[in-house]
Amino acid sequence: MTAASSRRSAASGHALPVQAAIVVAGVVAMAAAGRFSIPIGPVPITLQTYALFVLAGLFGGRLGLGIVLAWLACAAFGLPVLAGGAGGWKALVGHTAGFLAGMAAAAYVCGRGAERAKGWPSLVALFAAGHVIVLAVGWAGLASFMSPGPAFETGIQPLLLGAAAKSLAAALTVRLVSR
Amino acid sequence: MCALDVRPAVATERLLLRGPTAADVAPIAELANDLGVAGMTSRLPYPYGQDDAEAFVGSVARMNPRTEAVFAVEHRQFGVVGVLGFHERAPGRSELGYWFGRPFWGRGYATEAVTGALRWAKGDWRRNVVWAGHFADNRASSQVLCKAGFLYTGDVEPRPCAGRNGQAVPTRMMVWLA
Repeated sequence: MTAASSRRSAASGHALPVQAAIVVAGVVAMAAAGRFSIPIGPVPITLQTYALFVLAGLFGGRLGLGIVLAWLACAAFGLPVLAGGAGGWKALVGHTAGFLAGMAAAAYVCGRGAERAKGWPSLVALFAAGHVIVLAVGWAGLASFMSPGPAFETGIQPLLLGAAAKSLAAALTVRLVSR
Repeated sequence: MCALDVRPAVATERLLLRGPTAADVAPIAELANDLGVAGMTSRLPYPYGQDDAEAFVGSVARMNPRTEAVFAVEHRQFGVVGVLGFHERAPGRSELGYWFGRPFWGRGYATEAVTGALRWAKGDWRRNVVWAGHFADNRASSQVLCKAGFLYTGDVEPRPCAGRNGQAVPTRMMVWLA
């Protein structure tokens, strides 16, 4: 049994108030991670996907998805929880909408995967795959404003190195915390 | 016009962007009557006379402020130096256009005005996306838009240029994402 799977059984075994507390803490973590934002172009580099995969890895797919949806709902109501303290429905449906939708999908996929993953190398691969989901959906969203080529060059390419680093860091964090 | 002018104004370091008035007709007619200016815009005819400027100022007064916004760009010392505006080419698609008189080229006025206008568009006009295009042979405008944060979309559209007898000119499209 991996750390993630033991965590998952622990989390899903929790009573509803505990799960709700996990979601609230998760939203706070996502908002805090968005404050570490480097505006390098149309899409900033943030710690959001790092926080996302740590949360999904620790608490599983269902709670991971719940956290992301609650976080996006907070943003829709105008709370400054997105990258760089942005909020409001316009930020939600803007040119980074694809990245946000991708994060919801990746939280579920990686959370479910982490429940079965054995060892940290498989977590790294899983989170890298999660990043591919986020970046692919984000790219599709960005490509509604410009051609796919320039959208990749300006919005995706600068994020690739960070995505690899965050996959590794998130896997190690999950491994350390759940040990 | 009502006594209380509610049209927006934007102040930058050297410039003031405000709604054009009848007093701007003469300087606009003088500065726009230049093929080097008109030939780089889609709308300005050439030659450009006093009546064109009057018609322009009149048309701005009739614009829907929710979808379009046009500013006379006034230098704090030299008066009107150019015109900048947001037009709706397709529903929900605001496109930026501008021109500056030849005596005021090469001093960063366009970049300053565009940057100020985008700040207004984002903060007051609540726009998160603004489009723009420049004729492929207009390097100066390319630099202005890049400096203001516009990105090339990769699309090149033929756009008619009134100053070049309506001839279609390849136009490189750009987008600004707030």
